[in-house]
Amino acid sequence: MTLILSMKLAWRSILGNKVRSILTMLGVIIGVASVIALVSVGQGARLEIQQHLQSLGSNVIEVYSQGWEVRFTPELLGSLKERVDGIKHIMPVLNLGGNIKWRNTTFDSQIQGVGEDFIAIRDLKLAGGRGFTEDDISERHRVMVVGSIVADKLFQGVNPVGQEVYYHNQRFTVVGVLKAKISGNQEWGIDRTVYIPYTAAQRLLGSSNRIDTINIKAEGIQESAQVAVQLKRVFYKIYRRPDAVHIMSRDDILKQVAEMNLVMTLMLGAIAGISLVVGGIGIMNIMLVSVTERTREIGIRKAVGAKNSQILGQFLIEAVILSAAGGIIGILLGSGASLVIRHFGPPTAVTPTSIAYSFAFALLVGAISGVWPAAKAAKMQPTDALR
Amino acid sequence: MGVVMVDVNAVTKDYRMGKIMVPALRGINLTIASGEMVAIMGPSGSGKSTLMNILGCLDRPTAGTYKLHKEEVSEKSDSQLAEIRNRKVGFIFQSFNLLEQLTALENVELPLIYRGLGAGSRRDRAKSALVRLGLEDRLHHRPQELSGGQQQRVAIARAVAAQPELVLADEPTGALDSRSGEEILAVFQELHAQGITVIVVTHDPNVARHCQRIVRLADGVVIADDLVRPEDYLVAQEVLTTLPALPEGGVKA
Repeated sequence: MTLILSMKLAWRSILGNKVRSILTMLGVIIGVASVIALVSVGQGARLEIQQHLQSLGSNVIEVYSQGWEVRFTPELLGSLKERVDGIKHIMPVLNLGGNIKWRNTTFDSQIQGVGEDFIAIRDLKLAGGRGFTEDDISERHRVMVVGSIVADKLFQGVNPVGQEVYYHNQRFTVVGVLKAKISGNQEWGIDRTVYIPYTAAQRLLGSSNRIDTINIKAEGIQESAQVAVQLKRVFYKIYRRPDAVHIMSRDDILKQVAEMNLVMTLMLGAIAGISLVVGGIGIMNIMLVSVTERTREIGIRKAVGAKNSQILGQFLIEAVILSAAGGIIGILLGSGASLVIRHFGPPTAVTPTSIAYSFAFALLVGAISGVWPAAKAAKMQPTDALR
Repeated sequence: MGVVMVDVNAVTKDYRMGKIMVPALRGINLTIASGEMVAIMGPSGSGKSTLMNILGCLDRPTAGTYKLHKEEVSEKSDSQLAEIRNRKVGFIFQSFNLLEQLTALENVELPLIYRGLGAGSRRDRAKSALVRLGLEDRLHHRPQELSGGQQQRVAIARAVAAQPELVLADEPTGALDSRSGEEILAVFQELHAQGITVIVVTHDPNVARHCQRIVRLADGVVIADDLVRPEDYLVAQEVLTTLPALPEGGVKA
């Protein structure tokens, strides 16, 4: 009986002092809301990066040159395919930036010079037109395959295949359109990318025509690890130093991103957690004041037969109810804030975990900060309290 | 003498004031039988409030023994004292001591709540106690919506709803006009007639004359313990007829 009754009594005294109760809750509300909102930003970033990485293609290994003398030539790529077992496809990648222009519209895009196998390597699908042929690569044809967002945004309903687009004042012909890989709008990533033959990209770049990245698709997951090991050995033989190239599999990147994100989420969570602790101190402060202020009430309750434990329970439950109510309001506000953030800026994701943790933490903070004031109230001598 | 309700034996009580101990009671001996109505009188500082706190189990004596209805209370734990206050003692204070945020009914329910009574029987008992005190149309009023006399009657209802063996009143009429005060004393005399032991702490001789017996304290000892002479005894109902009636039963604006 004591618990339900104490809750009833606590609830009444909270309602009896609405303004003070809300002010007390404010600390917890802000704390929980900021935990939810900040962690949702971190989680949103993580989910987005993961999605993008997954869209890069499975079993892909990226090799970056480290040092000016490390050059990847078409001949080297050919010999790598011979020397290393388990390579399904291999292609050079050149990253370029800048606008492409169609009629009077320009589009800020990511441009990649790639080999003819890029559709297979990246697990892409054509929505229309064709990919690159052997001829396109060897003859440096100025042709282009565009991502789904490019197709939507730049061509605005006109079928891009066959259209002429200007890039670096060179005329390119769109030969293919890709299907969307990721749903939703993206600031960057695979569906905003424009692909051109790497040979054409080399010509655009003029003298700096070196290839510094290779994408390799392994036969499968198991082969992928073996390929990475063998590649390391081959490049060591060629350059006689271990760090001539940086070899990274998509799994490595995912792992790194996850780690980075964990650190970020923990940091944001810690910052928000501090504000929750401050909120708890607020509860403690107000509860202490409230105990002093309600000395008479405590005296009356004791005079009519309240036991110390019943007084303790009442004040403790009051603190927990305050923090629980603050927690619920905070969760709602934080989720709302996360929606607003998503609307204007970075992606966010409110996870059940962050809700559960912040609510549990709020309750804990409430209980801990209620202990001292409640004990103070319980220990009060009835004669002192009634004076 | 019938069953002994209050048996105080050589009770002393010292208070710590900074570094020195100040004696408030210096050896009180007092026996009150069940069903008596006794006034405890004395000037301020005589120790009458201290004695009342001990009689009501709000405090423990420094030395000596106190038996309430044959039960030794000097060495009880806090929790046991709370239990005794809850079941055996009803307090009535000068300043009513009702909880402002609760209604009259809820205030009366309070001791029954701490006793662990179910909601239904709690409500019934509280209601009938309030009806008995003529407050049937004030059940859901808050203390600040009631006159002083009504508030004190709520306080009495709270005390009697718990069906105590002993009712302790500390200057119960001190904050009331004379008519309301007289009405409260009429209630006490009624309780007394029902066989409840009533102890009234007061400095007002006219209040004391409503009791059968007057115990006088000074400097922490009993200096006199006399029965009220029949010619001095006041019956509240009779006194009320001599007082001018207030409009609408004396309800404060």
